[in-house]
Amino acid sequence: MGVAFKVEDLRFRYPSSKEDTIKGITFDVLEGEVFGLLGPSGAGKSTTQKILIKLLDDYTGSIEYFGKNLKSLDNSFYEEIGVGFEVPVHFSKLTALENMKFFSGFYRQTVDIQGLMERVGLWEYRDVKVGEYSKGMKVRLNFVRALLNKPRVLFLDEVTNGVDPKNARIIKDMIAEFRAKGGTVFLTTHLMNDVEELCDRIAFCVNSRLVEISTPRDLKLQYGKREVKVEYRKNGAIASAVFPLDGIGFNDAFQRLLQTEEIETIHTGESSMEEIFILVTGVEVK
Amino acid sequence: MSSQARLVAGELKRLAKYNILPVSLATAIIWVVLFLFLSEQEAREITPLLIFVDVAAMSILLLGASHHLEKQEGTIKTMMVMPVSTGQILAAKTVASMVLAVESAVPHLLPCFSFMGLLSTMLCFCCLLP
Ligand SMILES: Nc1ncnc2c1ncn2[C@@H]1O[C@H](COP(=O)(O)OP(=O)(O)OP(=O)(O)O)[C@@H](O)[C@H]1O
Ligand SMILES: [Mg+2]
Repeated sequence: MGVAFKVEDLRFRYPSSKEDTIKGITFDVLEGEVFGLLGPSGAGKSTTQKILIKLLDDYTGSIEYFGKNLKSLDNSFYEEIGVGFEVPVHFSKLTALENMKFFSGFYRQTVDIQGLMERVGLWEYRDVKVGEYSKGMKVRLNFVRALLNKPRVLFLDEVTNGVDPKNARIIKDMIAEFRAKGGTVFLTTHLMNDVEELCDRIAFCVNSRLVEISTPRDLKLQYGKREVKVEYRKNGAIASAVFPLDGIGFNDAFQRLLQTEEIETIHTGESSMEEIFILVTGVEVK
Repeated sequence: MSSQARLVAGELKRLAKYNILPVSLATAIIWVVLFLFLSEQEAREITPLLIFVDVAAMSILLLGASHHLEKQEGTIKTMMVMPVSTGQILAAKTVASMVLAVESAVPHLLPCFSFMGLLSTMLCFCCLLP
């Protein structure tokens, strides 16, 4: 498997800011994987994506796209990538279909627009002006736009933000299918469900640096706590106790509790991705 | 269709959809109607000014408005991640602004015919085209 992006010691500063927005980050995005970039608000996720898609070129460090220097690539680079921006962008006075036809017209390879729009439930609203779309509809259209050119690498910035669970499900399925066909995905998000479900590897971005690159599974093993939490009723109030999961069968205190108290719930604790996010970044998930 | 032609077509379509073409046509017509209330002498004096104000200033203003709308919508960003160059996008905007200028110049031709005759009208019109 090839390396889609090889990023080394990337640094970037917006002309208007005093401090570096990206302070030297190094990571690879492998071909065919879903790579998730996570981090608290303002960490520099969207900025990193903008650098990778050549919207910001005033960076230092090196970025290779399939072995070629990103800076040396011409516009044909855009034939190969699909971009879903954080905030959906369309011409609001044109209909959804007019928008999609306009954008797809510039590519050599294009997809079946009707098929995609049907899939996300927008085909019946194709003749409605995008300005009259709801937020969730715009987000879905934004996703369709990113797929218009059959991209090799897909960039998605918080792609399920503001979409209802049913449509989020559809979008996540489509991302998984895209990956199954060999596509590479660079995903930025702070929705932990998406990460756990979709990402092969994730990187945590905190204070403009990467602090951890791993797979969701390894993170869970590393940060996960194997324990049992018992809630029971004592003198009318709920009390709780926590025991290590290992050797629980021989744990006298645990056994005694089960025999003597009125048990309300028993749960095995496995840290959720959400807890890991807080542990790694020190920031609560929104 | 080439990318360049597509960009120009898109630009013009948007000028029409965002009501920029119709607005500029309407202002041109208002000027022309005002014209009808002037004497021939007054009309002769005011014509150069009128043509400058309406055709040049209005098209710049309206083009500015269309650019502002696009910036607000963030659509420039989308254009930048397509396989077209910034130069091509700018070229398309320039062509669109020329069409806008010609469009608001056309209504002026009618009264000009009656006052100044064909030759001067043609001269005047040619000067407008950058
Ligand atoms: N155009 C800009 N000019 C100057 N500073 C900017 C610009 N865009 C973003 N920044 C700053 O850069 C930092 C990183 O922003 P960025 O949008 O990359 O964060 P993010 O990780 O995507 O956050 P979020 O999760 O809220 O989307 C922020 O401090 C932000 O204020
Ligand atoms: Mg962001």
